[in-house]
Amino acid sequence: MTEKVQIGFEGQAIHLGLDKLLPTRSVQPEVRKTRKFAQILSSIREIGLIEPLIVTPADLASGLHMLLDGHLRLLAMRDLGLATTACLVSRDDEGYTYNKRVNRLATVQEHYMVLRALERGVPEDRLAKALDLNIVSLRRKRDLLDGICPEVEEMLKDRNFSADIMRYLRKMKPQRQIECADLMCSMNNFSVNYAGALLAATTSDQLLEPSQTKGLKGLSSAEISRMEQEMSLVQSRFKVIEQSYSNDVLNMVLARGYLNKLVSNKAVASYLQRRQPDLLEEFRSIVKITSIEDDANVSKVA
Amino acid sequence: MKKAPVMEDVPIEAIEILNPRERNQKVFQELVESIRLLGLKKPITVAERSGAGGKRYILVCGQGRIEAFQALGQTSIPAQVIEATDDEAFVMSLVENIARHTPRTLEQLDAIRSLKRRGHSVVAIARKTGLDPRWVSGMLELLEKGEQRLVTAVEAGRVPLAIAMAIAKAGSDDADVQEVLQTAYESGDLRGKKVLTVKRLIDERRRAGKGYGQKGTRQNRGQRLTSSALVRAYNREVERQKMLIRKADGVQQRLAFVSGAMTRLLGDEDFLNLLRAEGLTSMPAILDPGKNGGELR
Repeated sequence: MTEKVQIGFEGQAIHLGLDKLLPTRSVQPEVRKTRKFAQILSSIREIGLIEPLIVTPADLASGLHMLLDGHLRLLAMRDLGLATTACLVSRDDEGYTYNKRVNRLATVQEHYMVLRALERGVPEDRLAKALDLNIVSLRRKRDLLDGICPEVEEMLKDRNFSADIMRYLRKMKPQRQIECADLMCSMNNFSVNYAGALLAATTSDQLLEPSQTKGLKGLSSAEISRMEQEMSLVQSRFKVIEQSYSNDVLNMVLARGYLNKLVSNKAVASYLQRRQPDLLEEFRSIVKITSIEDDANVSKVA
Repeated sequence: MKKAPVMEDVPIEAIEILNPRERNQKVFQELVESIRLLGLKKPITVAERSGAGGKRYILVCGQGRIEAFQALGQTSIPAQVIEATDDEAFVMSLVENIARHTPRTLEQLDAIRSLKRRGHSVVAIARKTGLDPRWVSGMLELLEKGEQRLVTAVEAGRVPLAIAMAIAKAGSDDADVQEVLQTAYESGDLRGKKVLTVKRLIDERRRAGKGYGQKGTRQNRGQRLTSSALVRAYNREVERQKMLIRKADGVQQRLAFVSGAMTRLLGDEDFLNLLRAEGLTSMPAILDPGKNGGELR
């Protein structure tokens, strides 16, 4: 017999004045400038609040309810000049779990949801308005995967990125698309500029339509060919070291720990001072290195 | 004017999901566990449709919660029933998924601090949130010390809490911090790629401080691509890769040097005797000419 899941809120939603709600966390005023806040505001204006805010029962003395979930929505509703809103009263007073369990929508998933809604006949302008997008950006989300090979879709499926990077990837042949997506993942850089740079550094035989220009204005062909060469050189070298690097760092940490024991041991240090003074000096300088940054800069050794 | 929403217990099999999404399995498992332990924190939202065989519903939001309920063997789920056309339901479910702020770690932990401020004990907070009491008290302590960088790393699972706390305790003394890393590795708390992550974190913390400072919230609206921005992005990434290559080369050369030097030293019988006398014969495999690690004979 399966156990009944507990319910963490009281029966029906109630309507409360916004002035009866007491925030439990601080909200930075700069949040108003973010894209997400603009979307929240415009969605409330266009279609209203979907999920109720979550509050505690009223405090007997003040009559105020502590707000557990919905701090940004409250701010947006205040900005919109609304007076009351639907609230659910929680049976607990913690506000941690609400935000913690949000499963963020990845860009590829967002594309599928937009695509399906539009295919089912939801008007474009309506969706665009509710999401505070212009029609062009909405279509860009809809067409996100056009001309993108399935391997790249798979590599990027859990990521969040601007739909604009696909504009560049889709000009490449599949093999090169995969290479670039792989590079973006391993550098953890999904910026539009980087995608553009990768396209610039793509040789014309790896482009879908070699005769076409890459659509990158303002770059000389000499500049582009320098980028192509340098990039391919650096990339192949980078692939090789990516494998061994973390292992080497680990060994270096361990070696350094041991060397530290050696040079801080009086007897050993004085023995080395007499017999191998140059080694002792090198050991000491290695022990002093504390960050990997220094490993790159100090070229004294070897 | 539309009818006010009504709360009902709705049979799960009567709910149709118009616009399903795939989700991250790990986050989903956490949701199931949280609901099992703490219960359902808010109802799902559905719109009613009359069908031939009784009431039907279409989902507006709460796919994760429905699936979690099913995973827990439930057949019905509390739902807020609203009036909405299919179009509206589509728009609403997209809005719920997209027009939503993903709170940063520090914002999330504000909720924990708020509970603490209101006088709840660590044990009570742990019970309310389903968190491990050690995690709660450790995080509160790190926050108290202003170790935002460490807090974020722990929350993201990049660094074990115990190690973050040890780093915080070591303060700004580099040698102590180094020691923490060493001990953590030897005790097996830190393996493989994590070593690198933690090392990087320590470097960051030293260079840029414990907190993140007053950086405004990021705005990524309307990135315009100009050729100079593109060349900059290109140069920056190639430079980053070259830097990594340089670092890797540096580390490799230094390792080669150290292991060469040790081979030379260990060939010296006097030196070996000295190491034995001082109890220093246990060394990392990389330094041992026999490459088998552990004790020298």
